[in-house]
Parts: sequence; C-alpha cells; structure tokens
Amino acid sequence: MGQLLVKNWHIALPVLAGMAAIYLLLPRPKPYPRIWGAAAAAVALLLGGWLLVHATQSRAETVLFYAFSGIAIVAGGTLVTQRNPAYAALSFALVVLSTCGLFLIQAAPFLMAATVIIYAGAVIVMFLFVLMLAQTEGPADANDRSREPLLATVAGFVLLGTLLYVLGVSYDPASPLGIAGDVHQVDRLLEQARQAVKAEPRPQKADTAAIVVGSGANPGAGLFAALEIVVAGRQQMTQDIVRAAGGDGQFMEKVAAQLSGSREETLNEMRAMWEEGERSGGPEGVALMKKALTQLDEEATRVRDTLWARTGGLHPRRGARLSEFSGPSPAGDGLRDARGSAPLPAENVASLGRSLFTDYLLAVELGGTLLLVATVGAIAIASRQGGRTP
Amino acid sequence: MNPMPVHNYLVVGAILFALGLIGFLTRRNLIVMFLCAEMMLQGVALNLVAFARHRGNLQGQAFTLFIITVAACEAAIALALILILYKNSKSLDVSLWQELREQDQEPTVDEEPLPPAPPPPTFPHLTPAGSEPVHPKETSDV
Repeated sequence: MGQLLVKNWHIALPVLAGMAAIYLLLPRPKPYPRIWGAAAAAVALLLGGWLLVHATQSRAETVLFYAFSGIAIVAGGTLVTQRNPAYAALSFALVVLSTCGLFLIQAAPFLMAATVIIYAGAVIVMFLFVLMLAQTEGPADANDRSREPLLATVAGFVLLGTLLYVLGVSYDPASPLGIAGDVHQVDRLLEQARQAVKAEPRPQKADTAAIVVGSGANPGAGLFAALEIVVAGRQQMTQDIVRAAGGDGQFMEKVAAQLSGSREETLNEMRAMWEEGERSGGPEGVALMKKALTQLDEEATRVRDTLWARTGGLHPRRGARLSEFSGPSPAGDGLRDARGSAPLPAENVASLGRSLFTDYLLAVELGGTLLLVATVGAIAIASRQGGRTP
Repeated sequence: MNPMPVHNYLVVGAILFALGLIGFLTRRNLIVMFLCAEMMLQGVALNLVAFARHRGNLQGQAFTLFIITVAACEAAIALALILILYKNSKSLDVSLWQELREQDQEPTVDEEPLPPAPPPPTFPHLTPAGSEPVHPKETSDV
C-alpha cells in the first residue's frame, strides 16, 4: 500500500492535498481558519495541474482547457464547502458554464447551447427556491454542520485516486505505467518522420527522425525503426495473449495467428522502394522515396492503431459502429490527428439529429414519456396537502 | 504540435464527480445536496463528450443529450420533494428525517452547539423630518 502510494506520488500528492483542503473547508460549528484550507486547495490545484501538463506549446486549446477546467474545479470546491446556499447555486452556475466551454473545445456546440439553456433555467429555479426556503437568520443546522466530514472526504478522495490511477494506466500518454506510453513514443517517431517526408528538396534535409534513432545518415530509418518497434511489440503481445489464455487456447491461437501474420514483406517492399529511390537520385528518386515513406506511414499508423486498440483494455475497437443507419463512419482511418482522434463532422447539429432519429428513436420516445411522467409526478407531489411533522 | 489528450478531460470529469460525491454525502442542506448530484452528472457528461471526440463519432454526444433530459426530470421531481419536505418540517435540514433510518442504527446527535447568531445591525437614529428645529431669534440688523 505504502509502496503503491510512493510509486504513484504524482497522483497521491494532489489527491491528499485536495482531501485536506475539502476537509478543512467543510462547514462546521467551529471552523478551521479558512486560510489553511485555501492554502491546501492552492497546493492541490498546482500539483494537479502539473500532473496534467503535457502540451509543450502554448496553444489556444491548451490555454482554454486549463482556464475552463481550473474554473470548474475551483467552483466545484466552493459549491461543496460554501455555507450560504445562494453562493452554492452561483458556484454551480459557474461549474456548468465552464463545462460548457469544455464541450465547445471538444466540438460539441449543440450540447453546449442545450446545457446553457437548460441549466440556466434550472439554476434560476434553484435561486427561486433558495430565496423562498433557505432565508434563515443566523446559523442553521442545515448550513453550518456536515455529516461525517472526515469519512465522506476520505471516501470521495479514495475514489478519485483510484480513478486517476486507472485513467493514468490506460489513457495517459506520458505515464510510465501503461502501454499508452509506448504508443505515444511511436506517435512521436511517426510525427518526426512525417516532417522528414515533407522536407524539401530531399527527405535527407530533415534528419530529426535520424536523430531519434541515432542512426545518422538515413532519415527514413527513423520511420523504419518506428515500425519495427510496433511490429516487435505486437509479437510480444501475441505471446502474452497466448500465455494469458491458459488452457482454452484454441480461440486465442487463432487470434495470435492473425496477429503474427504481420507485414514484414510489405515492410521489405517499402524498404526496397526507398533504397531504389536513394540510388537513382534526381526528382524521380526523391518522389519514390517520399512515396515509400508515405506508404510506410500509413502502414505504421494502421499497425499502431491495432496495437492501441488491443492493449488499452478500455479502448473499443476503432471502426466498430453502433449501427448502419447514422453517424459518420469513424471517418477514414487515414484522417487522424497526432493523438489518433478521428475528426467529427462539421455539421454537428444535423448529424446529431440524424443519429437521434435513427439509432436512438426508441430512446427519444422513452425520454419524451419520461418528461411527461415527471411533469405529472412533480405536480402531484407538490400539490399534496397535509402530511406529518417529524 | 501536441494536442490535448483525452486523458486530461477524463481527469477533469473524475474530479468533478468526486467533488459532487463528497458534497452529496456530507452536506445537510437539501438544495445543496441536489446541486452536488447535478455536478456529478456534469462530470459524467464531460467524460462522454471527451470519448465522442476521441473516437470521432456522435454516440457520446447522444448519450449526453439523454443525460440532460433525465436531469431535467430529476430536477422537477427533486424540487417537488424538497418543497413538500420543507412544508412538513419547516427546514431544509435533511437530518430532521433521520427517523427513516433502520431500526438498529443509532440516531446522530449534534453535540457541538452552533455559534451564536451575530447581533442585529444597529442603525443610527436620525431626527424626524418635517418639524422645524428651535433656533435663536435673530437680533442684529447688520
């Protein structure tokens, strides 16, 4: 246990600091000085932000992401620890607005608008309730006490630490814990080799890929090395799968055969094309070299995707579609950005509507029914007279 | 060029979820508990939208739309319940309803007294307007 904490100190430290902050700030009859809680919260935010920093350049998405998520987390903390319910409702509005900003960054403009409209209405209703019901003079049991603050805080932050650990293992590209790190390494090699392809007049001009593998003269070698890493990783993984399968190995052997029939011959073809281009020289030779590199890039991306899909555990297979009716096909395996995400359709609202009315038609009907029943139920409950008093 | 990986959005969603969980467990005001539950829903919605972006299809966004629908229903029912609970107990404190606990559970008793209420604000007393104050009669003609 202690060893696990020490090994994952980059997760444990911000979680512990956040736990201390929330515990110190929770309302109680004799509160701790607020400055302690605020200091612990600042430490937690800084450590947590440092845990998340991966982007090396300051880009618009990076700045917006940190701004919105920082506001969301700080407002969430205030919502939990604020005594006055009116301020809590305001903090909730801030959480919703910054979450909407994150939606917008993630190419979900319709959801952003819907959330703003619906939750803005909800927050206004909440304010009416606060004004109607919660206007108490002086301290009240409801606002100035907490139920079991220590136990609740520990439970929440143990959950958070576990979540962060699992996410780090399976999704964090910079984490040394999981396969995501290997794939990220291959991604960087591929990116540098792509720059080598684009270089003019000859691919040799850009030798970043060569620097990566330390082989010197041949920039294409970087890409070849990347692909070899991928293929080797795949063979290793095949062995792992067969070993892990244990007794019932028949199906697993089939899978292993499919995996290990890897593309060495394709790789050799491309290598031959590259060497021929290098020998012949001139514009044709350069074009040939570039063509070899491009094909190699596609092949490496494909193999990398297979690796990624098979190893993450939490990653579903790419290209698996829910239905044939709607939704863009996961958009061409060639069209992926550097982190491997496929592009979303530009016409967000139209695609979402098409998806709702083909794939999710029954669910939409059920949602409408649920809304109707909830309206009837709310009116029935709220208009009930009499009752008992505790 | 290194775009923001999906991991970061998942972490923010997890943090919002955990904060909402703590608030729901430990706060005693019914309205604040409800707000904390809504914040947990926001964390989940962020998670789903991040996966929609990551995988390049719209399934996550469609799920989020249904989450918003169900959250609206939940808000209606919860506010009606809060209203009727308030009517019965004249307070938003959820611990007033602890007689609903199981039979072998001890009741929670608040031992520490609440801090005294702040004294009511004192306002300055002004002279009433409309009556002419007494002033000495002017004697000099200069």
